[in-house]
Amino acid sequence: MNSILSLWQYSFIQRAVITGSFVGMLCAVLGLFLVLRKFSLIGDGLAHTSFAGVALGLFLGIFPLYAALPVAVIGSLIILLLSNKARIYGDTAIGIVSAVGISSAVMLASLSKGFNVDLMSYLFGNILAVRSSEMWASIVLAVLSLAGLTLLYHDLFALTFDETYAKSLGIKTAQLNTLFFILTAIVVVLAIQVVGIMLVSALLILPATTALQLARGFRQAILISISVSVFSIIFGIMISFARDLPTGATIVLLNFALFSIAWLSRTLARDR
Amino acid sequence: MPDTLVRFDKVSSSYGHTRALTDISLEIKRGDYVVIAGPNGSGKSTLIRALLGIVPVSGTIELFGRAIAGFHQFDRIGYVPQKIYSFNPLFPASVEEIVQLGLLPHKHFPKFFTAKDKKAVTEVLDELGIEDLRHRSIQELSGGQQQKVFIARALVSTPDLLILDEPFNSLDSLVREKLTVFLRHLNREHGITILLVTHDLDDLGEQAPELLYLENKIVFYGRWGAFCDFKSDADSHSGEYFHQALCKRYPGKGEQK
Repeated sequence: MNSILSLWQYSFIQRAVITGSFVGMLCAVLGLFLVLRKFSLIGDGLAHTSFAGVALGLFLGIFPLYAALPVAVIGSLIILLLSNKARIYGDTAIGIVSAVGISSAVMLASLSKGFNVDLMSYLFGNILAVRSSEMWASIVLAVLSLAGLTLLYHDLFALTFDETYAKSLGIKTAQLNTLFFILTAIVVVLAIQVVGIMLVSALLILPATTALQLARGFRQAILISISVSVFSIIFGIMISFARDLPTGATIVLLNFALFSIAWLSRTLARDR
Repeated sequence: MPDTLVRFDKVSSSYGHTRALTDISLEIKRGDYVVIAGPNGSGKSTLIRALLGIVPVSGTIELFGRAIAGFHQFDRIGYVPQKIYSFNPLFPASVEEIVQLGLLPHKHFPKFFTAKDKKAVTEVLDELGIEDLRHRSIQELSGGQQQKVFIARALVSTPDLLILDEPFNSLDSLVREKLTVFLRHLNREHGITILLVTHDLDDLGEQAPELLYLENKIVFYGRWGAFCDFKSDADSHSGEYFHQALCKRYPGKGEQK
């Protein structure tokens, strides 16, 4: 344990832990709303859309995650539009946008013939390589997003618990849904830095699902989800560096271990 | 407060090519207690949703004397949705968290709850005898307890109009009877206007003075006794059966509005 904690002296570890903790907190809170609204796979869909944004950024020579942000936001709004107006289910809309995202990324990669290696680093994440400017950009976006979630907390709670009832309270659910989807796109792009495009949805789903095994109220669920997320990110970074393991995969597997413990303890408590 | 709380004028609504409501015109006065009945698919829930501004309609709807498009006093309406559709069973919400949602229409952005709100929640939980459930998760409660929580949520803002959509579903006879008595108490002692959608016709004739019988249009609206004089023109077997069953239970004389 001491050898793991001694890693804190390295500035790149500090940047990785700070960035990961902020992004993890955000994923933990937003993930709860997504899981409960049966939009768990939107993380996957928007990550694949972001993949096209990353490819576009590399193609045009601008910082890939900056290009991914507007592309992911547009993707999220298209998912919302298709779900509401095209008489198709939400998961189908996610599937369509996801497939178009990957296809566009592959097309751009093929056209450019030069950035396939860079693209791979975004697929699996490389949080240990986060630069100071990226860390600050992540912190600012995460704090703004968390502030947005706090201000909209009760309306989002009502919307997630029962959308029809939320409408009866005079809550403007269409606008709230749009804001929520935009926020999700921002969070997905931030999370790509931590675990990579392939594993973003795990960061949104697993801490929330672990919390749902244990919590008896929504505030409690948020606290558990944040704790699980931040714990697995911090220790995932430390363990992966100390043992020379891939960081994103270590974070996700640590998350899965915590989910398994929560699920088993709940099952045992129920059977007792 | 105006004497007429709800006014529909030639209101129609459709789902695709299916007409759910046709030319509905009615008035609900302060202190009324109206049971909305009809066979499956007769437009009962659509009527409630139209009243709450949730489904698009043609025609005019007024709430508390204001056109629904400009109506913002949602705290004056308490709504208890159908329980089977009304919450996600995986949602780990506590009773307190659910009941305080009823206070949201009082709030302006940013919405935060205060000590006064906590007190209002305590009072309504006390009135319904479920204060001890305050910190329990909704998932852990029985069907009757859950229904009480949703009624508490509807009452916490001390509304003038209470709307209940199939509140007796999945309740045993004892809980149903207690709920029936409680609703009558709210109407008579507190003057709360009640609209109640139900399939469950036992004892309703005694407690709710008025019946609104729908078959996608208003077939009957008035005191129960006159209902049998009006023949259903439902083209479905269930419509005809429902009309006959209701008529057998509540024969007698009355008047239509």
